[in-house]
Amino acid sequence: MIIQVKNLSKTYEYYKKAPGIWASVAGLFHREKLYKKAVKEISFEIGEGELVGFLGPNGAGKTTTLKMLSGILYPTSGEAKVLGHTPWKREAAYQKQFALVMGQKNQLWWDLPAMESFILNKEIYEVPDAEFEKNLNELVELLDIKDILDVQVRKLSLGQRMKCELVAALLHKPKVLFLDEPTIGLDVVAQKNIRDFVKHYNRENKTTILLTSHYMEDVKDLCKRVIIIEDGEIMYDGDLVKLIEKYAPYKVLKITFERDVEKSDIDRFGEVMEFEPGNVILRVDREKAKNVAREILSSDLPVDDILIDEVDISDVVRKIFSNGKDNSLKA
Amino acid sequence: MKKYFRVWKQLAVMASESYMSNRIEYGSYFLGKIIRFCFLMLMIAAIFSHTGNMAGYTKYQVIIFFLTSFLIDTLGQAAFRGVYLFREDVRQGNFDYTISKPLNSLFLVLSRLPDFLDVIFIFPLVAFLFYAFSKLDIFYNPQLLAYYPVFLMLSFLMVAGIHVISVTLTMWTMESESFIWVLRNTTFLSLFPPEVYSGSIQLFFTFVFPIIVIFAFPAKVLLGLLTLKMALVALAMTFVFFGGSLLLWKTGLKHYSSASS
Repeated sequence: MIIQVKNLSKTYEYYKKAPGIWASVAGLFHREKLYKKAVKEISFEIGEGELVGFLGPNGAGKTTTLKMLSGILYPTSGEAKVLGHTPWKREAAYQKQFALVMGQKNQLWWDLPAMESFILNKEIYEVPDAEFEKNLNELVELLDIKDILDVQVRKLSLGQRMKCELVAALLHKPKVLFLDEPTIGLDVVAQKNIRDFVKHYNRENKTTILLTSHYMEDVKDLCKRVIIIEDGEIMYDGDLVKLIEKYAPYKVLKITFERDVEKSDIDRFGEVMEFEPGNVILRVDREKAKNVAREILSSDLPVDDILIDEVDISDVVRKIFSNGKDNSLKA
Repeated sequence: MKKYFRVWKQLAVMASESYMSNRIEYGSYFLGKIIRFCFLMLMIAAIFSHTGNMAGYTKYQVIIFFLTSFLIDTLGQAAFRGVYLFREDVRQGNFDYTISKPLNSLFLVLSRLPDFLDVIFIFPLVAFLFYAFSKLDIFYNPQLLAYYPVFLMLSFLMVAGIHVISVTLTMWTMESESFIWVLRNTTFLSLFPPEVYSGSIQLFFTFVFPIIVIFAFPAKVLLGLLTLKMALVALAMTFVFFGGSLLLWKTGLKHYSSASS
């Protein structure tokens, strides 16, 4: 196993801050210390070359877990080994083998072209000249950023900057990659470019990747396995397809009609989720989906087009979160 | 060591390019530094146009104190300018990247922006020092000249220690690099010989917040006025202060809570 996590916990300490000037003055003399359990005894293992999605709402503990595995944070208790190292010991031998990319933070120098930051990382990670050239050329070609290498980072678009952040992180060919919201704020085209790159990089280099993202498209596109975390606890760890099968035992039929139909004409086929006279979305049992579609087509309804689709994964996850913690969710 | 030099060299190249891309900002900063230096020199000249000595020191001895203090301050700013960027790095969470790299994070934090404008300033300062020293009516002692850089080095370590304490406090509190401004503001007090201040103030700034040890002791060594006892005190204080600051940084790193995502 490349990543082994056992009973890992993190509790943050912080101080209560009441609003108002007098509360601020009082706070100079006495402050109430508060504790927030961000991660609660989580355990999981990730094998070589796996690309695992780490899902959860804001404040669930995803980023805290990633930061502990990167050695940025010390845990309150528990154990973790990544590539045989304890991350928070911050050994150079470990730090040279992993990379971290955070969508909302940057390691590139703002006033300078990204190339300067790449050279700085080359020196920090002690990448030999020939290897640096080779890796850089590969990454630049894959991400198609040749034209922006000499442009000041502050002049780049968010998508271009994220591509450069990825290059800076991958120049030393890490064996483990932690991606924290790499597509956040990007437009759909830029998101897809980043996703395609991550997929390709994982396949070609067998890099173990742990990805957190708010965008379900990222997870659906990239991850076979997902770990769902809420309120610091793991609620699900397993196959994404099984998760959908288990928590969304239905499929969606999207039907377009040549002319308007009545709702009463179609509600016998399944649960009507959305209805417009010419367009209907039906929810039907997963196993019965094909038969229902066949029935609709052979009926006298004026069907123009029919599409059998999976339910939106974000709905599944939302459903899990809204149900609250349930031990039966564990895969 | 070779790796650290190569990283520092690249940081220096990047800092220079950064300065050149922000010409107005750094040009103004450099101009301000020259104006401050000239103003203080004029002030010394004005004081000595009315009196023959200051707290028992001649004009050129006072200038040695002034230039030594200015030199140490400039060396500290040239080497540790990264401290002024640190708060934003911590607040924005970019320090997370620094901490995850296979290099001493303190080195990366402090040496992030080597300041060549300050380095340029060092040359005329040293030339002025030689000039002032040549004007002193004291017995030329090569030993004193040899001790001077040693004490400058000790002062540099103490200044490094203050910068380390400052970044540790910033890391803990995520507040401004206020501690470094205590040093910057008290540096002004050290431009003159410590004897101009009362005994209790001298004691405070020698043993509690040791700016007299940092800024005045090297000048006293050059002037042959530092006793062996006080020289040993300076040596011991440097090791305790610098060592203590590194320990504090290590403890701070262990408790670093990172900015929220």
